[in-house]
Amino acid sequence: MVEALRFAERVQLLACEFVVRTNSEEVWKLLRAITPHAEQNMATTLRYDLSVTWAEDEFRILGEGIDDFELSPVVASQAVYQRMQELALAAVPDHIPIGAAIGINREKCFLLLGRGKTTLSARLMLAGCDIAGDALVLLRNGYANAFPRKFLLPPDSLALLPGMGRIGSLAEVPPDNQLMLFDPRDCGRPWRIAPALVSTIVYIEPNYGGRSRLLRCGKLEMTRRVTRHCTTPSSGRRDWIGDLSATVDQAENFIIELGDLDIASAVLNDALS
Amino acid sequence: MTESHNPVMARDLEINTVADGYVLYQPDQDRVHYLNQTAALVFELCNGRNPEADLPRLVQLAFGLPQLPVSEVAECLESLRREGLIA
Repeated sequence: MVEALRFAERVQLLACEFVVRTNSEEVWKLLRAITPHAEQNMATTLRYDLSVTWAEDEFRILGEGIDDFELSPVVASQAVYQRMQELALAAVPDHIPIGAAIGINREKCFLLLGRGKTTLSARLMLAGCDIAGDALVLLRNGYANAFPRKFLLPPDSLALLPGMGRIGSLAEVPPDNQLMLFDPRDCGRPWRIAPALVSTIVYIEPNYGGRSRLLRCGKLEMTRRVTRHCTTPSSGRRDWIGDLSATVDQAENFIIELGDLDIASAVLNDALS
Repeated sequence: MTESHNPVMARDLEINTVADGYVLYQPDQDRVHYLNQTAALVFELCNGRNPEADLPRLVQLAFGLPQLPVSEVAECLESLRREGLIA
């Protein structure tokens, strides 16, 4: 006999509200650990129901275009979360997805692109910056919004961030525990996600073991760099390059040669203020 | 260089201006091109009304150059043609 789906997890991802019901406490706990719980300044207009049912030695995942079986609670919870993210992104088809971290500074935002953005974001967070996301930003008409997702930090970076060691809730990400999962609340910071005008774009050039320097970057060159980290909006809108280049053109643009993290954090804070 | 030919911009190009150049998008090919200020000027001069032979003189005037930039303009035009941005 299949147990009732007595556990429920509600998650908002931008304009979508998801309710995932399950009869597996383990799946429910895993979902609670991996799904984001940020304050989001976006009305939910779509609602989706999903279920994960443990029966006959397997987890059956149903709902919203998914009908799948998994043997492991970890894989089942990750499959559900993956589907949630796909649906949430499909609900904003005109937005330009950019692989970037985003921080909020006096009601405007700055973007960080390139290798080391999560580590640098974590360092800025420890210095008191409000970082809304570390991986994916959605851009439209000059306004950027973090895609709600917990931050993923490589364990190697912990040695560079002594302050992170105090976070008791830093969780390892199964199945191979190669990444650490956290969010701003773990650092005593608020986690608010809302569209903000892009005022600054910073591109990271690794200079590990060396000095950190902040250099101005031309608009054309920054547009070239940022475009490499974008994907075409799913709606196929033809003016997305114009939207992106206008955003770069109206922002201040820098390259940071990322060596010492403390110095990088200090020079960036100066530039942003 | 074909002296009697008036180069013209390709159709269906999205032209976006930033402070130091142009970002051109070819939607049908989903390709992006980045033109610095010199290339942007040469591109702008390809309006169908300027003979190709006149372009070096026009660029010289625009930038106040001491010499005619013949080879530079020729290289630029070749690059723009190769990328399908002018005909």
